[in-house]
Amino acid sequence: MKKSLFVLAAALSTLSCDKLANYGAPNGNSPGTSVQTNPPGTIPPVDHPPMERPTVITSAASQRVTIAQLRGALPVALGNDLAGNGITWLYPNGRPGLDVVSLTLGEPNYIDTTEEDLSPSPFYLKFMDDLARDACDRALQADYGRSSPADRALLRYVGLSDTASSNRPGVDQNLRYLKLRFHGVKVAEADDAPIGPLRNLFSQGVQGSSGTASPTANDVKEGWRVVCNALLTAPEFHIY
Amino acid sequence: MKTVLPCLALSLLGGAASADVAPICEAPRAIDKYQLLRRLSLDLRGRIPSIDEYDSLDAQDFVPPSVVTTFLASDDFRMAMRRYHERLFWPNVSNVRLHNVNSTIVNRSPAWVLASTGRGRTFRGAIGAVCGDYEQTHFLTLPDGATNYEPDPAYVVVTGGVRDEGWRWVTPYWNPGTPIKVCAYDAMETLTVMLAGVQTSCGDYRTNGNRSCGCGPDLQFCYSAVADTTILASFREQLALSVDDVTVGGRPYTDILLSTQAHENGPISFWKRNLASNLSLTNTYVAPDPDEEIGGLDWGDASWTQVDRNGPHAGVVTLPAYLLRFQTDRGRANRFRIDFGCEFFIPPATLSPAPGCDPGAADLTQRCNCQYCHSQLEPLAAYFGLFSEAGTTVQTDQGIFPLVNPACVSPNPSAFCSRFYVTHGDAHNPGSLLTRQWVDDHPEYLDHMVGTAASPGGPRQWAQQLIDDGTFAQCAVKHMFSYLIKRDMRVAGEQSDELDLLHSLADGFRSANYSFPWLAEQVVTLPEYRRVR
Repeated sequence: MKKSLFVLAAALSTLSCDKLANYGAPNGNSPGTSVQTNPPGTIPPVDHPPMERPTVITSAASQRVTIAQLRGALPVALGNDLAGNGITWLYPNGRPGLDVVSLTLGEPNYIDTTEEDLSPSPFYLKFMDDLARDACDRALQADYGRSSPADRALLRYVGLSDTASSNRPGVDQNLRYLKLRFHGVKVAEADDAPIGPLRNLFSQGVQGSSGTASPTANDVKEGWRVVCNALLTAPEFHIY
Repeated sequence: MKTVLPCLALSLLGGAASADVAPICEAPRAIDKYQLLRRLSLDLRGRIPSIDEYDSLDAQDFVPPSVVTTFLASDDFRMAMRRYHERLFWPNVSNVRLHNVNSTIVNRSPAWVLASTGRGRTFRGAIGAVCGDYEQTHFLTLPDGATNYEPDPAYVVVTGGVRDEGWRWVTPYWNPGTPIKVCAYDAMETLTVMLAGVQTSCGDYRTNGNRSCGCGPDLQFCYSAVADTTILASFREQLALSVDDVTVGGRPYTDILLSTQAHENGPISFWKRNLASNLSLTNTYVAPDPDEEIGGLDWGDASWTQVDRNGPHAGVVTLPAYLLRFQTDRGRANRFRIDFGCEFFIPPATLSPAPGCDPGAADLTQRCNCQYCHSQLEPLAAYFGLFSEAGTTVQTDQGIFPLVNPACVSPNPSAFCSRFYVTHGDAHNPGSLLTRQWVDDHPEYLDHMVGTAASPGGPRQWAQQLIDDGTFAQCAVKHMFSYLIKRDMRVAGEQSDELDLLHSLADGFRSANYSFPWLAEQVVTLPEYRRVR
């Protein structure tokens, strides 16, 4: 997880759409950073000859969610706890984590700060990691306390002990469901690309917990915990 | 100005997944119906869609228009638009002081007592003295047989010349279910006293030095910390309710500047009646206006009612939350100009004095360098000239605020004079109200401040001008576009390809009677909204 956060932070902080948009423009900046991509993507090589300035783009821009939107999104993504309260990130003292770190995350209180900084800063990424660990744990506790899959937020199409080996169709269907639930990404039945890495994560999480023994429900829970963390810390959750 | 978003590592997954990162700046792309639903929901409701809402799209080719209509009618939209407007008005006034220690009652041993050491001396004869720890049971009787609960001196312990009265049980207005011990002098229930020949409420700050005035029945003339917090939070909610009126309440968006109505709950109503005049000249001047309607709700009444403030009031920009957040007329005008004119004062990188300017001019419109902004800002600030700076009061009562007060011209002026009048004898127009100091040189200030019978002054006059010339509608469009499209409209300079769109939306907004939901709906149905880069 730490590794992925580092990679995410590096990717988010070193690239700027403006830089690339200006590339090759008569007075534009040449790209200062060589980016290794796999697959190569659409970025021209550094020795590419000057290109024509792109036509004016009529589109919306992307934006990081605000802290208020995050507050609203978490209970929708994670469902309710067994007491019926919307699941969110809570500090050990019971206070909502997003309230505790509100100012640190740049949410304006209109006295000290008046404009929300929506950059995905290292601070933001660090706290989203904290958020995901806590909130996913609460969501899994709730799911494992419910017998009917239809009542669960995360494990709706699998049994509590199902693995990718024992119920591959169920795991895949659940991953498709979670991609839609968390990211609004509809994954077609035949499309494995968006869920393949998640399935690997799930399996590695299960195996990491069970070791060489047969996976138990608790080991499977660890697998889903990793998947939930990945979904909550993914850019698709935070940028729209 | 929009924050430049970094490119996204779109394929990144967390956990132990291999970092198959492909950071690319994609060209603008149309988003599918599921992503569009997510975008609409985050923008209009402040949250992501539920899984059921996503699933309902499976049978649809696109997001049905009814979805937008439903979102715009939801309570989530109301809350999202409150946040949208908080970005405009910054209505957090929780750090504002409405009074000073003279009307602050605090919990000290052995009982609640006024925080003012001076009032303690007035009551007891020694600075900071508090009452003794015994129940005061004997009080003076008025001629009509009633009592104001002024302690009977025969039953007050006097030690070394200091009067240590006892305490008595009082039910405070902020928590009537829990009686508290209050030092008896501080708890006196005298309603009025004679002040300079005028019967004056003990809730008026000018009676703070009167030995017969305490905090009144149920402590109604004094603030506790709970009362402070409640009142200031109510101001923020009051502004939010005015926003609700124009975003989901069916009122035209122009009401945000033209309405003289205001919402009032128990705490605000009670505050206006009992506490607001117990103010501090060194903090905020918040006495009720001469013509405003004040509701009769009790402190504990959480419901909201509408009152007419009358006078020069103008929508949200004359509510306490705005006037106390932006405490100077210049600050108020600057914020107004940004919010409703979409204009900003930006000083040039290098200042060069205008020919013939005076570096020492008292009139900022003439002073070198200052004049670039202030020649525009001073006339605009005059629109707020009838409202007390660092306060809320409409200063039209010439019994309190004579236009000229020669007595204020003094080397040692009173706090009131220092606050509201030109006190230096060698200044321009000595003795004049500060807001009128330059009206002889700048007659337009008076027009902006007071106006005429046909066109009353104040911020409403300015608002009407912006509405009439189309600026108001265009600015509302720019704000909404920026919020939903997440970039500024390209309407100026080399990039002005969206100028026609601006005019079209602004005209439509006007034709739709300034319907805010209409404007939001128009922007989210633009092709631009459905393409993202």
